Amino acid sequence: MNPSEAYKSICQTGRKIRFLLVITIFIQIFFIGISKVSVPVPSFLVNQIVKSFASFTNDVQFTVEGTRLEGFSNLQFSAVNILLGNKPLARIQDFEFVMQPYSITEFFSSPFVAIRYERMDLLFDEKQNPVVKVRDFRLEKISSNHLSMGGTFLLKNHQLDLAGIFATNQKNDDQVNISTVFNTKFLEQSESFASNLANHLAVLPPVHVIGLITGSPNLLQLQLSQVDDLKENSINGVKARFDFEYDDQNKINMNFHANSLILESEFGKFSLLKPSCSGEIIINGDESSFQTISKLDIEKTTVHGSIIGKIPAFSALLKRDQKSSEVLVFSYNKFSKCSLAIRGSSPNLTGEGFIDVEPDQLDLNATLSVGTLKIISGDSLRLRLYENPNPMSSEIALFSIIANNFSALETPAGNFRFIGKVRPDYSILVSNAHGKFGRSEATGTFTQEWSPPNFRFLVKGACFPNDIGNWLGSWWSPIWKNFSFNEFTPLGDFSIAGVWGGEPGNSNTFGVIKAKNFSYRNFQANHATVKVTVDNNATSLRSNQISHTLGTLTGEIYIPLKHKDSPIQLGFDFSGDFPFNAARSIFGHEVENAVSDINASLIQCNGKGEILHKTLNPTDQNQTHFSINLSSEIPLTYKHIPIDSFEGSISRKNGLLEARFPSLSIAGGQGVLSFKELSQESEMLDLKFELKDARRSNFVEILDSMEFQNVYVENHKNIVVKEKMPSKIDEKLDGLIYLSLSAKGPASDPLQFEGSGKFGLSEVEIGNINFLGGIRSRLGSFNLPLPSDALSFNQLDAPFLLDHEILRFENINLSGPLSLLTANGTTNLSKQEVDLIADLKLAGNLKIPLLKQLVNLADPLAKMTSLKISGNWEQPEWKVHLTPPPLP
Amino acid sequence: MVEKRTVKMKNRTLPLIIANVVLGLFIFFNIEKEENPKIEFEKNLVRALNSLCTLSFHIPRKDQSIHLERQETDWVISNPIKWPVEPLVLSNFLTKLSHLDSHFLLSVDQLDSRGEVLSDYGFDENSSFFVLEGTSNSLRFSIGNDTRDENYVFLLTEQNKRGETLLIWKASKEILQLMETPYLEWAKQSFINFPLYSIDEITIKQRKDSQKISLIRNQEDWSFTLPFSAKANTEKVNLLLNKLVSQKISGLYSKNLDVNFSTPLYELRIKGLGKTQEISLFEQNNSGIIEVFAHTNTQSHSFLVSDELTELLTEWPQKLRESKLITFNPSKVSRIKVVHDEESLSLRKNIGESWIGLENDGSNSISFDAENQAVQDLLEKLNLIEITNFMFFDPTPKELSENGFEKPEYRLEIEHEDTTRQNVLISKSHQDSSYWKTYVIDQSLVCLVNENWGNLLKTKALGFRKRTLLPSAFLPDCITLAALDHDLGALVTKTPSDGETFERLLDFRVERFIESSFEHEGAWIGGDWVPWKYSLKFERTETETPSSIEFFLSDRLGASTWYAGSKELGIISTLPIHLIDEISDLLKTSSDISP
Repeated sequence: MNPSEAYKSICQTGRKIRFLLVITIFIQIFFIGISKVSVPVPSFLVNQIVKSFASFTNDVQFTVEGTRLEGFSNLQFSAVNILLGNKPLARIQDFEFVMQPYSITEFFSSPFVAIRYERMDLLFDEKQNPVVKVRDFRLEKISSNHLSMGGTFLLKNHQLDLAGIFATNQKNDDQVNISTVFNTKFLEQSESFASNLANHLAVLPPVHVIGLITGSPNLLQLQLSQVDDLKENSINGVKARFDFEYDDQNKINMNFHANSLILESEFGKFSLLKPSCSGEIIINGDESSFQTISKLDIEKTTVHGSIIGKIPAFSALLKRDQKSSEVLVFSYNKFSKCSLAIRGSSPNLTGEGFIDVEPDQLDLNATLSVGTLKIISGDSLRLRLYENPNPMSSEIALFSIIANNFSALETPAGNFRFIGKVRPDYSILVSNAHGKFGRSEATGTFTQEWSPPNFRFLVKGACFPNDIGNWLGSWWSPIWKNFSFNEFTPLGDFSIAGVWGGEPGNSNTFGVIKAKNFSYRNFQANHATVKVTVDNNATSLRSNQISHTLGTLTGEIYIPLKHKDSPIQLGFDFSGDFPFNAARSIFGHEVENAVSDINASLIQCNGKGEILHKTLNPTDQNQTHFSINLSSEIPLTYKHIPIDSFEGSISRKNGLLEARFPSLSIAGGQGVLSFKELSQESEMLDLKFELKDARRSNFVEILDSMEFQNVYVENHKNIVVKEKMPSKIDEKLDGLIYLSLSAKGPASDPLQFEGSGKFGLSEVEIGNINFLGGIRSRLGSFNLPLPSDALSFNQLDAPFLLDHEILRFENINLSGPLSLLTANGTTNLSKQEVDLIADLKLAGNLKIPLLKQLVNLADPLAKMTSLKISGNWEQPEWKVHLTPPPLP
Repeated sequence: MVEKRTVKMKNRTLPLIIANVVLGLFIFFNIEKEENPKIEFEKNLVRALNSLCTLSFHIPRKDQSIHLERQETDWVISNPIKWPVEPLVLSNFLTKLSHLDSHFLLSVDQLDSRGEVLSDYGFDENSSFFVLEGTSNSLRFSIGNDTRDENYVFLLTEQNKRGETLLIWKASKEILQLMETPYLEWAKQSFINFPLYSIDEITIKQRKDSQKISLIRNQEDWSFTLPFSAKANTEKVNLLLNKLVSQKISGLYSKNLDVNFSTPLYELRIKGLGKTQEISLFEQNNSGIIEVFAHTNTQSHSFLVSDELTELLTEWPQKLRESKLITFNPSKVSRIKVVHDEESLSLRKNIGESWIGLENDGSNSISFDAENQAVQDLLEKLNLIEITNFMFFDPTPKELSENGFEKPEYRLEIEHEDTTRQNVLISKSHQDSSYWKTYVIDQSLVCLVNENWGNLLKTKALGFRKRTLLPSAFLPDCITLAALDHDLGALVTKTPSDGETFERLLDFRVERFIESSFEHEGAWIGGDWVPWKYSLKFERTETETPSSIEFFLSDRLGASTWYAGSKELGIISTLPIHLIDEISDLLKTSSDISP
């Protein structure tokens, strides 16, 4: 080359160099300028970028907001929304995608450097609340073949702080081919996995764990440890490890351990000691087959809830593939051994195994309406579960249970034997049950379904009600509280059906009890057949024949169930021979007190009614109502008043008591009695009584025993109790009494009544009886010049007004064949005192009109005197009371 | 000229070069450089964790060191003992280390400028340290003094292989716990290396009788192969296996003790997954305390085990043998015969699933159609009978005679469709005892059974008679339930249009036949007179010759007691609960409807 050419060559080279330097300067200036500039990015470009690292189908939609490119490498989004179909999948805020800024080749071949975002809400429940929240996430390329990641994941109430490193494919180490991972299927699987995981984790108490995730092309390991590892936490000592192996077949190994775990559910609080779980899932590459083997071990479980106590250590193994599954449950300790297996696939499942327990060593109690009871106790409980030997039948398993000296819920210990089967729907049928415990020995069947948990017991045999009270709940024992069974245990035949944990009153009970020689509230019955029915409304006891020493009775008692909030406390309906004295207590203390004045051995009765609850509101009227027809031919007494026979009814309607006794035999006479309460606010009674032809002597005896006399005795302690009348009296001295009374007054105080009535005495020589101290002798003592029979009286008519304890007489007529004694005045019932002014009219009772007038004109006694009778009515003082002559 | 032009070129090029360099430097120094020592170290840590090969802990003050190393996918303790590592303990360590609450303080290079030395932070030759060795790097963590606030400890990190800067950190005291984990906690607690499902064979040999007992698995079932061949109870074997594979070591000594390994108390051999693990148990008196040592061929180290393990290895024949008396497939039974004294009852499968019975009281025989369900119930119950005690095998004629099998109380024959037979002889063990001596002839087994054979093996036809009461050819079109009290008359009438109710009533059957005779007004049952209260008439009206079958019903006398009688059939029976429910509902409906 000559110099000229060399020069030209140098010149050209120099120009090229300078040109290159100038270009480089411009590029560097451009780079400096643009590296700090943030520019908006069109959406089509964004979509291209997204497609470059993710293979999504049209189902997946991206919407981005606030997209900007900062510098060459930093693509920023203020928000990214990802939808799977119409369903929101993820919502990301402050998302940053960092790409290779300095290498053109790297930019196009492997642009990814880092992903960062501040928060992502992932997967949404029905209320659009995020299931997973991710905070401060970063995924960065830290070397050509390593990615590191970090972030906080919040799943339900759990927190996972995760750090990790992933080694990328060594053969193509720069190719972090994210698109093979982030595709539609991945999103769908993630959604499903996260939902399932969230559901499973929801049962765990909140836990904060840290995690280390390490990955290589064929292995991903996630290791977890608890951070807030305090003993007082509901969960502590959590360690877990998950190995995901990718090869021809994918394999997941899982290992979980916690020192303790408290699970809370509607059934109570379960404290698990050292729960651990390990497992392996093998999935063929094409996902056509899989196999799972997992094992759960729990050292001890303490239960606090409706069940309280400890469950011994147990293990459970699950082996499952696409064709069938096998679950094994084991427990082994000094007092219990258990090995159960369920195999097959639904509906062709089979069960086998056994449970041997020494119940006395178990510490499990149940809190029931009847109290806290030990669930099982006794010497031994053996359960055997057998594979169904008959392939033609579909039962999952057959089983037998044999329990010796065994008690469930603290019932009397006994021996039990059950044979049954587990049906394809897992329902249980105990086809043959026999139990001998306490005073009971019964056979029966039992069925249990699960969805809903329907049950039904059929029990037949000698059933001593107290033996099974704890099984049947709080409604059972009160029924039998007042029964007393002697040596004969009642025979029962019961069906009890219902739904465990169902609505109150869902159970249905029907049963018949045959009992002999039993008593109910001191009422002795010889034998009875009682039908017991419990349905949604009430408990009912009905018997067509309760025989006792005096006759038979049929009746029904029904008690509405509590959940019905019925105002009715008890309803009754009965008829027959009611042994009143023996059975007065069967309706309770109130009724017993109310009828305490009645002394009757047997009353024919039929009645029905309803006794209502007392309400707390004093203004509420007690609407207890009943109607009882009563009759008796056997003498009885009411408040010591002998009643020879009666027929009538007592009823209570609208809060008012009413009694009508159209036939009442008292003191040899026939009467009618009716009374009724006048208002609920007071105890006022309207009393009507009429008695005809009662024997005077008996009647006087009744009067002697009447209550108002007792009231007087209370008020006048110094009274001298007089002699009773002799029991046998000459009929000529007896006489017949007529008494009618219509009065109103308070039921509790007979001396406060007001009204009117009439008292009559006939068919007796009144002068010979000790009436008003003996009329004949008293009048005779005046030595009046009177004809014979002038002091003979045989008829008394005494209309009166009752004014509290005072009887006011305006016109007492005491008449005899000749004479007539008229009187007026008062009688004090409580003091038994009389205060009467009487006029004696000789021949005043002659029925011959003219003669009567003449005698009266000639009767100086009647014109001048009256008789004053006062003092005790048995021995009153008689005085002549001079009457001044009329003025001329 | 040339010189001038050269100078010109230089004059224009140089500023351009300078400008480029300046701009390049500007760009270089303005690019984010996050490669500070702290971040670099953390990256190295996660790299090391990802490719970790060995892990060692050293406590010079106690002259203790623990070495863990990865062997393929598993980790083992290589010092002071050789034993597998518990994976969860290792995971816990690595996770906590990766999230260790640590704060970078300074690099060792800066100590001089601060006038400090390493020992000021508690780092010297006696400092405890642990080392993480990965495939490409190695990290050493030395633990120094507590920080002044005593909430942290100083931590010195060193990247050995790269010889990079030593860094001083303050770290959570949690690292002390991690550092001082004793080797026994690192050790895997289980020593039987088989999952339950993978075990195919187990053998035990006991020193005291040198007898080998061996069980082998066939599919899911286990059988004894030594010292006899018999079926084992699979669930009992599974329970034993689960207990075995759950056994944990009670202790590991750093040095093997001088134990006489020649005469093991038990030798347990487990086969599965193509491997065999042999475990020998030895007893050693350790200062008056009997300890059980174990040695296994899979580990070089002997270890202590719970004496519960020896309990598990005893009495396998008694504990694990299948205790069901007889096992058969009920659907393959062709005939069953019960003999009691002179009486016998044979039940023979007829066509399909129907059965025919033959009752023989010693002089007369009657045949009857048998109820399939009753036969199935009997077969089911026979399948459930368990042996309470094994008495002896292969009894001699003398033993059979002594145990009452010459004239057994019951004899049970079960004939199968393949003509094979199972024969069982039963004699009462004692008059007052509930146990029965039972001889299973085909197994040559004499055993005690606590089962009331008397209740189970009936020789009367009554319990097996066909329970359906309507002839199969009789298809009624009207069912009338009426009260026998003439004032009440017909209560309910049902026709096919009533659907399920009608269908359920059509399946009119008995629960149990009762030995009593039908009378017009009622029947004597158990000493009580039970009057008829209702009639249930099945009528066929839509034919040229109307016909009917009438049953009389008592009142419902209990939840499951409702008697029915038929004059034509001459039967008294109880009704099954589903019919009792149905008829109760009908009566309830009729009473609700009637005023």
